[in-house]
Amino acid sequence: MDMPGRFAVVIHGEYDCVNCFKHNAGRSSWQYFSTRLSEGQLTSGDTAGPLRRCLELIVEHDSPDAVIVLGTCPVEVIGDQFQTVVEAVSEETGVPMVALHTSGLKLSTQQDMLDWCFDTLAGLGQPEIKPEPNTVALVGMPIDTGGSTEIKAVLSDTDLTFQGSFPQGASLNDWKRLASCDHLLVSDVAMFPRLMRRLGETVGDIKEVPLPYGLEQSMAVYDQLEALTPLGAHLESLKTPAEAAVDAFRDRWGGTRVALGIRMHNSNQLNMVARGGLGHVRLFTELGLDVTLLIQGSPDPSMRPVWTELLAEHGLDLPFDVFSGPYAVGECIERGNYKMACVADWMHQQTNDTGIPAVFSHQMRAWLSGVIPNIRHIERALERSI
Amino acid sequence: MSTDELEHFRLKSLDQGQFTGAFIAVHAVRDAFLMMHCGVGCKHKATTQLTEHDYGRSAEHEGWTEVGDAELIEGSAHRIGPYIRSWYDRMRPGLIIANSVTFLDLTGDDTRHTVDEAAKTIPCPVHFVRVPGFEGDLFSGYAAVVLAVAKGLDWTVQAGPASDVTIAGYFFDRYEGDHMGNLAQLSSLLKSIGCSLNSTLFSGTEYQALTRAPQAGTLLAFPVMHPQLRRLKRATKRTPVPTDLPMGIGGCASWLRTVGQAAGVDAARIEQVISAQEQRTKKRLSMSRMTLSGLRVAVFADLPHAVGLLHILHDLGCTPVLIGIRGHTLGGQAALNEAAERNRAPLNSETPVLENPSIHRVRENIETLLQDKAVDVIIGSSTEINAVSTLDPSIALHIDHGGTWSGSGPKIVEFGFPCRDHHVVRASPTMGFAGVLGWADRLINAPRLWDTWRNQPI
Repeated sequence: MDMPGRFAVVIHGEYDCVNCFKHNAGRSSWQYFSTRLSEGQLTSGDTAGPLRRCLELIVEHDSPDAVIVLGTCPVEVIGDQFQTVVEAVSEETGVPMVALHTSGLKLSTQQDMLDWCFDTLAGLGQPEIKPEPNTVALVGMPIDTGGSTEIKAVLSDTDLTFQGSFPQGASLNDWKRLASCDHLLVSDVAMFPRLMRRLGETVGDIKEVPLPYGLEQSMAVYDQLEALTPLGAHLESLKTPAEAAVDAFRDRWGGTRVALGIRMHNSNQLNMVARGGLGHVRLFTELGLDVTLLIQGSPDPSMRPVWTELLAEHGLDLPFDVFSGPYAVGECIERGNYKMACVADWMHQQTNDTGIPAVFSHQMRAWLSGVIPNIRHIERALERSI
Repeated sequence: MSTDELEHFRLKSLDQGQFTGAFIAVHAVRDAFLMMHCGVGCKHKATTQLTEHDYGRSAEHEGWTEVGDAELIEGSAHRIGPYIRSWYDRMRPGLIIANSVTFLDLTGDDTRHTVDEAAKTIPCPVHFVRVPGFEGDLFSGYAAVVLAVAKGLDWTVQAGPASDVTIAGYFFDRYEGDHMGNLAQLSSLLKSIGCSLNSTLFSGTEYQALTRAPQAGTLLAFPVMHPQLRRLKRATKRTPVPTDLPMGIGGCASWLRTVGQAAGVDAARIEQVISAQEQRTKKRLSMSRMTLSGLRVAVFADLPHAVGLLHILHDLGCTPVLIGIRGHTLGGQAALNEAAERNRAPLNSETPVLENPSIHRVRENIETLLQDKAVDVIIGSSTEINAVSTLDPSIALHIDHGGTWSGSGPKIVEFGFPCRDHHVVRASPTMGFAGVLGWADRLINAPRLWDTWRNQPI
């Protein structure tokens, strides 16, 4: 919903299906549509007419560069082959249109859907790919508070050109150009198999990098860029105070017990689901904190080896505690004797009731410019526990 | 014509449906639980829609029956009973509301019967609420739960005196200071005419407190319940008294007269209270009116609040220049005219009214008003404000003679569901006589949509 540009999204189903996402954020809510199928249309299978009319009107009035049609549960249940209508109207009007079967019935994950969606967007520009030498793009990475100002500033003194950060802040035209970039840094290659297959055909250099939360992980991203071209003084001006702040924090708070909730992040935020939702962990461990992960899942003891293995796959060997649902997270936090908890915002009441200071995971800022604000924020919370 | 046809398909400024409304109602009963018989996407209609709106309470009192394609094929209704029982054991709620969604209704399962059967095995009341996504809106979903709960109460008890009042259909959507303030105001208004507030469906209390509702001698139906008056009467075996919202001086006066008459309060006493409160409020408003007088305001609100805001704007000396009615089950322009007339709310027949507008239409209309320099304030939910924020700021800002940016966008007052940035920690009513002062506060202190801080003060 935050993608800028002239496009339209049609949610094909009853109108309440549009409530699976927020309407009060992003730049594009006014470019969204619903076919508003009635009970009669659903039960009689009369769904092609409204979809066709909706698409025709969108083309006539809004002249979008592309239209994406999302299928919902009710149309899947009745076996609506709506892609045939989409293909036909696209051919008749010449406007690229894509039909996606995105119903909640499919046993697919959030990651699958994102991969599918991104692959589709990147595919819109395929016939016109012209390689763009010395360009860099980021996929699946968070942006900083100023958009991508930090990385743009770091690259400004180099011969690399920043093409864009995907998906946040990328326009439809950016997506169309993605396959033509020279170097690609991706937060989680395994999360985007379709997209990687497509980009692998044209992009020569694809590298996986950590999510840039905290000093070490941000520097790991810059190290990859440094390997392409020397990075100038601007990076140093960000790195030096961040290092000093991390050292000072470790001296004061090293060894403090904190709880870090995972698998409860807002799943509409890509950077919260990439890398198993564990992208923030090293931000806390590099600060010398004694981190215990709180995992939402089955608290059955027989499941512990599974969690251990999953964490090991991400290179983590940390203590963890398991809670069965948001209603039980307070109990979980209380029994750990933590000085602070970092949780998803929608557990704020349960966490608040424990009296233990908390920060929200979405408040953690990315990139080097986020290191000091994060430390200040965590420090303020810890000071409340004294 | 085809523009109107496309408007039908566009995302509305209030497209939250009955499912979300039902969850808001469940959220408004502190120990209630929503059992959602649905697929994974529908969960967002509850949690996602409410989480950032309510800083007072998180939205975790819900479970779902985890229906995917395999469960759909093999039949899914049998999942409801075990899920209700296991969630009861985990949460020990005072009330369970169960619902279903269209794609499962299409299979022909008798979900209501299945829920009723499961209810026999649970110690707390369990009610099924039908909330299909192809009809109704947020408010009808909320009203459906009020009705279900009302129906489950024992209305055969002896009703108390008429001065003892129960409210049905107070739209309580968060545990924040705006509702704290409003509930205190309602109580205080009633007290001022010798009545008392018995129960409010809903007000954030636990279910047990609602069981007292039938003891009241007067049952008020707030606007959310107006389309359901006959059903409410049937469920409660009482004659509900429909009222509008006590907003603004005129709105409070009208409300007191309606309630007072129903409760058998002496008319002279009511007029005395109104007169004293009106004088006091106007006196306290006099300075702020100097600042606010003449402001041109675009209002996006559900119908009852739109009527209330007409009173408020009149009290503050402001002029409504555009009214967008959010949602559709509470009525459109005709209902607005009727409610305004009934309430003596000042509504200029020239003021444009948008019925259930799309986000696109909201954006387009505000763009025109900004181009014409014809709007100073926008009152609306975060949905409208977010849409307007996507306009090009140069529509309101300009480069001055010195070569620097000057000017500002309109004031923005976030109000309604959902709020993103406006949260209320202390009791700050929007209703009652104190609510008028609260609105003056909000309009004076409202932030600008864009701001260079090089403006003429208003």
